[in-house]
Parts: sequence; structure tokens; C-alpha cells
Amino acid sequence: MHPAPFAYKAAHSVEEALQLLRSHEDAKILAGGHSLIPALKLRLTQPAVLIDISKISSLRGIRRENGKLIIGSGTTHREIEQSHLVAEASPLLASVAPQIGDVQVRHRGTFGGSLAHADPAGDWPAAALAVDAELVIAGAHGTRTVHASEFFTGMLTTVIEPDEILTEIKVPGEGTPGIYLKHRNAASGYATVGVAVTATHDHGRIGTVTIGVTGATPVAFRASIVEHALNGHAVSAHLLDEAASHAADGLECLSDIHAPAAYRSQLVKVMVRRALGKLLHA
Amino acid sequence: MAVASPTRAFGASIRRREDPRLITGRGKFTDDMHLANAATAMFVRSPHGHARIVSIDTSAAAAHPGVLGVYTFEDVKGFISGMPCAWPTTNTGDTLKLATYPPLADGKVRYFGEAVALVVAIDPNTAADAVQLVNVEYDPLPAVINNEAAVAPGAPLIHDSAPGNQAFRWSLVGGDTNGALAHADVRISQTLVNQRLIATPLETRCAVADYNPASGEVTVWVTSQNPHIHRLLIALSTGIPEHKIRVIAGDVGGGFGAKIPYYAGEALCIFASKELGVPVRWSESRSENYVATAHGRDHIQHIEVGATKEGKITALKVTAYASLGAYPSTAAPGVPTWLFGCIIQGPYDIPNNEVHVIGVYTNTTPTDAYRGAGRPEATYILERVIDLVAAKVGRDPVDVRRLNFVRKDQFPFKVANGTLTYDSGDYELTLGKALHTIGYTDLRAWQAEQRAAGKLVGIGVSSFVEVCGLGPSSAANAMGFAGGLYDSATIRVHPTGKVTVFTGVHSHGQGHETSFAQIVARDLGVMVDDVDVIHGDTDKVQHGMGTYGSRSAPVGGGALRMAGMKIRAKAQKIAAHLLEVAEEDIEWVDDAFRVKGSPDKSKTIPDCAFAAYMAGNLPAGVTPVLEEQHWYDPENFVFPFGTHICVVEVDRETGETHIKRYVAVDDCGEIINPMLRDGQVHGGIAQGIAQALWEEAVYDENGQLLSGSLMDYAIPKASVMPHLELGHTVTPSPHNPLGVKGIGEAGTIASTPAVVNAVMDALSPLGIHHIDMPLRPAKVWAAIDAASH
Amino acid sequence: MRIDGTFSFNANPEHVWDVLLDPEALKACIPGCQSMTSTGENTYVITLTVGIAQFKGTYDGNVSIQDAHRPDRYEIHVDGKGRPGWVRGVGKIKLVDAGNGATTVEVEGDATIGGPVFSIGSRFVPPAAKMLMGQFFNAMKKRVEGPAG
Ligand SMILES: Cc1cc2nc3c(=O)[nH]c(=O)nc-3n(C[C@H](O)[C@H](O)[C@H](O)COP(=O)(O)OP(=O)(O)OC[C@H]3O[C@@H](n4cnc5c(N)ncnc54)[C@H](O)[C@@H]3O)c2cc1C
Repeated sequence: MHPAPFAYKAAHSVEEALQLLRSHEDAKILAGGHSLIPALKLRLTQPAVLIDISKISSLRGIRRENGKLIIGSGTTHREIEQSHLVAEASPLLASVAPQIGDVQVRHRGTFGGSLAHADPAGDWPAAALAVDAELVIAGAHGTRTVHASEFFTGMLTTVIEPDEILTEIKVPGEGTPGIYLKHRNAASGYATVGVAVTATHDHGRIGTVTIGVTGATPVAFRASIVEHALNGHAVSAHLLDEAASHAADGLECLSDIHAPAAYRSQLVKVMVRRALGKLLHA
Repeated sequence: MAVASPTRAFGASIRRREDPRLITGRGKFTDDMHLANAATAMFVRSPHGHARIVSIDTSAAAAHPGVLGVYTFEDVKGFISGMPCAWPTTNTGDTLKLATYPPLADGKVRYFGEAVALVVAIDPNTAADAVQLVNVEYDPLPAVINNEAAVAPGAPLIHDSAPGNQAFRWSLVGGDTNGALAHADVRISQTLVNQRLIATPLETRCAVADYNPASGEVTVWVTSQNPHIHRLLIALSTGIPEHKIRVIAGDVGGGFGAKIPYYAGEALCIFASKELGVPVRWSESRSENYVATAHGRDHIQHIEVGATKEGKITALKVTAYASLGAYPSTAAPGVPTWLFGCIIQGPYDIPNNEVHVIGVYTNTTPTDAYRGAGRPEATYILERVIDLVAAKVGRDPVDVRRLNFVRKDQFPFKVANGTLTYDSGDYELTLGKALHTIGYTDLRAWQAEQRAAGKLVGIGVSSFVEVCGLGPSSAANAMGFAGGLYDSATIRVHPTGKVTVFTGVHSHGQGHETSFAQIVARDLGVMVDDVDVIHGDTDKVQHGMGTYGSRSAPVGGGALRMAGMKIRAKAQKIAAHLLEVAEEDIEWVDDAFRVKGSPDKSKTIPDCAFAAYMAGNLPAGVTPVLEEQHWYDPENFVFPFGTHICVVEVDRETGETHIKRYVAVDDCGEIINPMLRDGQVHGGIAQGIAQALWEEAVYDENGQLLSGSLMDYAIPKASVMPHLELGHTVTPSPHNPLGVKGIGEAGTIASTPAVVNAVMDALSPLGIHHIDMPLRPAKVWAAIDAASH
Repeated sequence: MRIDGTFSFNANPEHVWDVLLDPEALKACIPGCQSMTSTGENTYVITLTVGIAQFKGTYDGNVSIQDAHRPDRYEIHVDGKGRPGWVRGVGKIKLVDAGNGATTVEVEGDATIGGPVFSIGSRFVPPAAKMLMGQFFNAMKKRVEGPAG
């Protein structure tokens, strides 16, 4: 449990961090360290330089602007869990945060770190997809904004380039009802399957449903088949049953010693159904 | 909590006196020993389950700056050529094939994670870098993991010295099982898998060795449950004279059996310290612990049962394939044989029973004792069997238990295979109390309603008796154990009346510093806070056999009581002398010797101690000083028992098991400290539930350990534990000096079948009667899914 | 561990075959290939730095092409080791004429993987293997269909 040698640099501004990234070969951003440090200690990764961004105050914090919730990438899971603003503006995010790891983990791990890491069993990717988050990425030539649907490119990989930093995440802030259901791996506590759902309805009619699913496949995805089957229809238990029964159609699910692929696809269906039931009361 | 009176110390829930030290970081664990100039040892470990070693190139590692030495088997074999096995047992005439267990791989690796080379460097980082520089060429061989496949024809051969990978065959036979099976009204055959487990103590194994070339003495700090056994095995395996070896196991963070064995890691730290002339330290990472420290359980059991149509079991036949892993660890052969087979009929009067055990080698980490060691494997069989029989004859499983119980008037009760005589028991009593606590009749009515509403709810009962307090040395010797199983106590009353106690058993979480002080405080009439308990240092403590098999209170505590009585006997003479009365005229009342009829005339033990140290005014024939020692070799084992009941709901769609209620009624005889007893039961139940639902060491067919870290090996979390409703009854052991029976393993033994029985009861409406552990959601859902198609 | 996949190419089987087995193409398309030297007919020693995202390791190994029947099928045998672990595997590759100048390549892989990386991160390995295979064939596809092909 001793990492290979590396150099450590603490950045105090995004500009400095970007500068450091550009001037070092084989450098890695260090945020909460709760995914990176275990990997370092196991020598699964051996970067030459770590650039610590946890001291950059501009990356931390939660605010509302033009109806949108803007969360700094360095904001910890715990800060999100305890934020009244998040509870009010994004019930889905408020539902995810307390289900991540344990209190100690939530005090260190960051929203941005988790998204950038893109663990196939991570919780935030499902929610980011379901709220259609916009991810702001800073690089040498300024910033660019990427929608969650385009952000995750594969297992543990995103569109963030090696010389870029995820700086903030914008999510809709109008308080759309949402819920996150998680089936925990009994060993790791990570999601075997996690289902993040938002739904609006009015007088028995569904407005918009969004569903993000993590854990089931190498990369989190939106269950659009189910969404389409529901949007605009009258709420009924039968409709929800029927729609949710297709949630795993065409999926090539992950398989491991805890959960074979068939079980993961069962969980996707069951958990989508249960989440819909809780939000739509049917 | 201070207790007002010494007399009331015994039986009080005194808070653990070791905790202020441990929770403020003032404990001294092995890894806390920082000696000047200490070097760090690390191991190069096999990435293969089974492979021939083609070559080992240590040159790059040896040349790495800061590396002090790199060693392979050839380098260390002159110091230690093999790890000794202390329980080389067999009883069938088949000779035991005790394969050599080299400290570093000798030509071949036989399990994933086997140590191949030792690197010693100036610090951990350098050692870790150098480990990466050792280049080993392997020629992979086919591996065998499954216990039955290992002894099947054509299986890959692990040791040339053990043809067919068979280590031993072992049997116990009582009555005429085949005859009874032939005449049984109902017969059931069932195969059960008792999966492989990893002990996972909070503290991994560590060692620090400091060899002094000038004196030839070596001090070794280790994480051991039995430091004197370690000292003996170090002496036997290395030739270092026993009196030159000091083994210290100070604070130890959990053992669960995995810290009984003597391992190569510890031995090679001594080697390296001797070789390099500096202290050498080694500390396992968690993933290293998972491959290098003994695993537990791992049986495949074929069971045949015969019963009457009322459910009275007339015959039980068990054939178990038990894995020793790749090499025979210290106590390994004894665990699936004597510790398992003797108690095969549990709390039931089964006149005809047989158990046959085939000990096999597989390409896996060596196994050894794991909390309960053998008895959980036996109890699991019986408790599953009772439920299977009940289902077959259409009776309530509680009634079938009652029908088969050994009755209260049958004690002392000799088991059919003749090996054990149960000392005392009242199995109806704990069962009745558990049923009453849980409200059994109402519960079955509730279950019927729930079932009608489509819910999968189940009730699981588990009654058990275990054999512990290991044990009479004569029995241990007869079972092939290469050691006595007595234990020792020295009580030193200081001139001021303060007391230091030296015990030969070892605490690694049990709380002896508290409970043992309670025992002595009562017997000496002093306050608990005036008694300190010393253990774990072979230079301080007289010989002792350590802690396992729930032996601390029965055997270590028994020795303490006997030593305490010796103190009292001597002090009584002194008291009589000081009070100027005849010895017959004084009595021990309210923590002092008092003159009969004039209780105000009294002398306490501290008074007598002072006189004993002043020594000028002692009765004739009484020697100075107040210190006594006792070696207690129990006349029998002790047999705690109980009944646990678990209520579960299984989620039909996800296969998840939710424990709704858990009641445990244990009888461990007299109780020294109820809080510590409860703590043992809580921890034991957590481990047992975990075996039922989550824990499993998983290997792939090539011998790769897939559950190689806590990301994949599921130990129970506090957050998933149900509320435990504990109750107890007190049936003292008639032969134990304290009347105690052990409680360290009971929870682990009882809980696993209680949970599995509950889940199977929940699933029974679907026609599902057995699923092998662990009952992970995916597995349960697959069974439900298959049953509904 | 099974790794299967199907890939389609807009070229006839002979052409696909020639590119798939061209050492230069192999070297260019094997993800993370650092060096590849021929040691005989259809046998190579190879050094790769592969993995997913930051979790990369360097492996040394031998690759051989066996049972080659142009343009229908061949087997690729791999045997390598590195610090994170070791791998041995056989890929059976079938080229099926899909008509209209197109070819379907069917891969049936069977790999054995071991070592520390597998023991602590087994959940990542099968998807990673699949991802790397996808990368390889996509690179090959570009080569087969692109201007260089
Ligand atoms: C015991 C334990 C339990 C856990 N349980 C859960 C769980 O239940 N659910 C869950 O989702 N997660 C869980 N985690 C993971 C935890 O949430 C991590 O903190 C998180 O995944 C990564 O965030 P971090 O801030 O720690 O990132 P780090 O570990 O510092 O970094 C992770 C990766 O992201 C990169 N990175 C980080 N920030 C940025 C940025 N702003 N821009 C670009 N790249 C960046 C790093 O370079 C690195 O590659 C657990 C972790 C532990 C240790």
C-alpha cells in the first residue's frame, strides 16, 4: 500500500492548475482523492505529478443563478447533502448525496471528482444524466460546456482532455421531484444498480420523466425507451409496469461475482418501476 | 464504572478497562513498535494459483538503492525449511500426507499470493519499489479449487507427496447408521456447501523482529492469539533456543482464529533481522492479508438422514470434503476433524451417526480455525437437517427439535460416537425462552397472513450445543494435538494489596483486562481497579496456551480461580495468626477474614499481604510474600448451548433478505460480565449472519482470488445489522471452577443456520428447499425466478 | 473470460484479411502497442502499455497467428505479463463474406487473466477487455476503409 513516487503540487487557482497541467507530462488532478488515492496505493496508476485542486476556493460552493443550480466541481458530497438550496432546487441530487459511501467518504469525495472519474458503479453519473446537467470544462482556450449525455464516453472515461479541468456543473433548479434508488453492493457499498428519476405530472397526466441508470453497464445511460413510453400519458399502474418492463431492453449488462448480467437487468426494471411509483404515486 | 464492592464485581457490567487506552490511541499494537534502524520487509507474491517457477531474477531489486537484501527459498531454507503443523491428526489408518509448507515457494507456487521472495529495504516505499523489480518467470499449471474435484481422478497434482491431493481420511462412527438408514420411514439426501471465509480482523498481521547477535536473543512482536505457542514453534522450526526467544503479542486487533497459526511472515522477519543485524518489521496490507492469512471453513458436505414419520432422527451420515488449502497450516487438520466430527449430533439424541472427512489440498490460501472452527459446520448441517426433516414429515420445525433434543435428565450425556460427554444442559429451557420472547405462535399466524398477501416471510430456528473451553490435555493429546490444553495463572498480591495477574490466555478484543480482574477481585475481596491483568509477553507470563475455542474464561478463568483460592488459603493462615485465633475460628465474609462471632475483628487480603512481605511475623511454616500460581487442566470440555430465532422478509423481485427480528437466547453458565457477554454474542451473530448472507471467498478456476479486497469481500456493516434481542439462561458447568461455559463462538455457531432456515422458510411456498450460502440477492432472485417458470 | 464481438467492414474478406494480418497494421492498431518485432513466421514479441483511462500497465508478451486459412479464419494466441498481472488467451477470428463487398468479422475470445489487478479490480477487467477489442477493430476498420487501405 505504498504508491510509486510522484511529485505533489497544490494549485490555488484554476489558471494555476491548468498551467501546471500543461507544464507537466503525465500529471493527474487530485480532488477529494477518494478514488485516486486507493488506485495510487495499489499502484494501479502511477502518475508522475499530482496537482491538488482541493485548495481552489472558486471550485467550491453551491449557488442559484437564473433558475439554475450551479455547483462547483470541488463541492463535497456532504456539502450537497446538507444544502438547503439543493434540497429545494433539486430533490434528485438531494436524494443521491446521502447514499454515497459513508459520512467520512462524503466529507472528502467531490461532485466533480466523481463525475470525472466516471466509475461504472458511481452514483452521480446517473443523476447528472437524469437532470441533464451541463458540465463546464476549462482548458487552455477558455471554457466549454458539455451536456451530461455527451460527457461520459466509456467506462472511467469522459470528454475531459488531459489538460482540462471540470470546474462547475449546472443543473435545473426548479425543484422538479426526483428520487434516487440504489441497490448497494454488500461489500463495497457502491451501486450494483442505481436509478435516478425525475418526473412531473399534473392532474393525473405525466409531464416529463427522465431516468438515469448507473451500475448496470460500463457507462451510465438514460433509459429513453421508458421515458418515451411515459411522457404525456395518463398515469396508471399498468402504464408504469409496462414501461418499466422495457427498461433493460437491449442492454449488455455487467457481470461480476456479486451480480450476473441477468440480475442487473432485473434490478434495472424493478428499480425503475419502484422509483416511478414513488414519484407518480402509482 | 467502578463497582462499590468487590463482592459485587463478579457479574457486573463493568465497562472495559482497556478501552480508554484503545480509543485514545494509547494502545501498543505490533505496528506501533518503532525500533531505531528498523528495516522493512515485503514479499513478492505469486500472481498464479499453480505454477512452476522457471527462474527468479532478484538482481535488479538487490541493486536498487536502499535495498538491504533480497531472498528466495534457497537463501532462507537453512534457517527455516518448513512451517510446522501442530495438529497432525488422522484416525483411519490412512497415513496423513502432511505436505511440506515452505516459508517461501520452493520450485512451485501452489496458491495465489504465495510468498516467492522476500525483499528487505530501509523503508516501506523503497521495499515496495524493489518488490516490483523482482522478475519471476512462471510456467502456469492447471489449478484445482473445488474440494471434490481435487480428489477426482486426473486432477492436477499439487504435492508429489500427497497422491490424489488427499491429505487424510478421518472417521467417527456411532451406532449402526447404515442399518438405521435402511429401516427409516423417511430418508433425505442433501449436499451442503459451507463456503470459504476470510477472517478480516481489523488489524492485519504484522511482525517486528529484533535479533541480538551478541546475546543470541531475539524479541519478536507478533499479532498472535497464543504467544507461547508461537515461541515454541519458532524454537522448533528455527533451532533458536526457546529461552532466547521473547514473543510479545501486546494489543492485538482481532484474531477470529486466523492469528492462531504460525506463519512464514513472522519467521522470516527473524531470519532477516539475524541476517542483517537490524530490527526488521513487516505489516500486511489488507489485500495481502486476504491471500497470506489463513482462510476458514470451506466444506462440501453430503448428508443422509433417516427419520421416523414423526420426525425423530434415527440416522445421520455425513461425508465432508474439507479443504486445507495448498499447505497444512498450524492447526488445520484438527479443525474439520475433531472440532467438527465429535459434535456432529449437536443437541440431539441421534443414536446412529457417522462422519467421514476427506481432507484435501486445493490451490487456495491455507485454511485454519475460524471463529467456531468446526462447530459451525456441524451445527449448520444439523439445523438444516432438522428443517428438512420437518418439511418432509409435515411438522413444525420447533416440534421436531423438541422431539430430538437430549433431555435434561440425560446429563451427563455421552454422544453416540463416544468422544464427548456433555456436562450439563437444558435445551428446552433456551428454546422455550426464545419462543416466548419472539411470540412464536402469533408469529406463525402473522406469517400465514403475510403469505396470503403474497409476501415471502420466513421464521428460522437454530438450536445448538457447542464444545469449547479447550480442553483436557489428555483429550487434546488423544486427538493428535501436539500440545496440552491446560492454562495458567499467577496472582501477585503486592505489599500494598494491589494485584497483578499473569494469565496464559490472550485477549485480542475479548476484554480480559476487565473480566479477569472481576474474577480475581471477588476472590481476593479487592476492588477491580486494584487488579491489573498481564498477558501476551512470554518473558512476563508463565507458559500458557493462548485463546481460541472459547477457552479464556473456562480454562484461563478456571486457573485464576484456583490460584485465587491458593492466595486465600495462605492469607487465611496469616490472618488467623495476626488475629491470634485458630484458623478454624475465622471465616471469609464480606471481603475479609473475620473472627466467627466477632465480625469486626477482621483482616483483609491487603492486610495479610503487607504482613507477608514484612515477613517477620508469620505463622510457622508460612513463606514470605503473597504470590501463587496454578496450572489448571480441565477435567472436561464445557458445553454452552442456546436457541436463536430469526424472522426475515425476502423481496420477491430483488431477492434481498431483510431481517425483521432476531432473538438469541444463550446459556453460557455463570456470567462474569453481562456487557462483555452481550458484546461477544453481538459480534458472533454479525459474523454468522454475514456467512449466511454475504461473505464468500471466491476463486476463479485458475486459482485467482476474485474477492481480494473489501470492495468484493462483504463483511457486515453496522448499518445492515438488525436489532438483536438477547436473552440468557444460566446452567452452570458442574466441573468448571467458575461454573462458566464459553461464549466467544456461540453467536457465530447459532446464527448462520437461523438466518438460512428463515430464508428457506420464506421461500418454501415456491417449492425452494435449499440454496447454498451466501444467500446473496442475485442468487436468491435466480432461484425465485427459476421456481416461478 | 469470454470476449466476443462482431465487426463489419466495408471491404471484401481478402482485403480485410490482408490488413488484419499485416504486421504494420497490427502494430498501428493494437491499443497501446509500444513495439512489435517478428521472431519467426507469424510470431511476434510485443510490448504494450494498455488499460483504461489512468489505469495503465505495461505488458511484455508473445503473439502468434495460428491456423490461418485466408480469407476465412485464423487464431491469435497471446501470452503476456506485466506488473499488474498476466494474460493468456486465444481469439478465434472468422471472416464472413457479407456480400456487396462487405465482410463481417466474428471474434470468439477466451482469455485467462490473473494477478493483483484482477484480484482487486475484477469488475473492471471484462468491460476493459471488450473496450480494447472494440478500439482495435475500429482502428482496423479505419485502415481497411480509409484512404490508406
Ligand atoms: C470507502 C469508499 C466508498 C465509496 N462509496 C461510493 C459510493 O457509494 N458511491 C459513489 O459514487 N462513490 C463512492 N466512492 C467514491 C467517492 O465518491 C469518490 O470521492 C469519487 O468517486 C471521486 O471523487 P474525488 O473528489 O475523491 O476524486 P479523486 O479521487 O481526487 O479523483 C478521481 C479522478 O477524477 C479526476 N478529477 C477529479 N476532479 C477533477 C476535476 N475537477 N477535473 C478533472 N478531473 C478531475 C482525478 O484526476 C482522478 O482521475 C467511495 C469511495 C470510498 C473510498
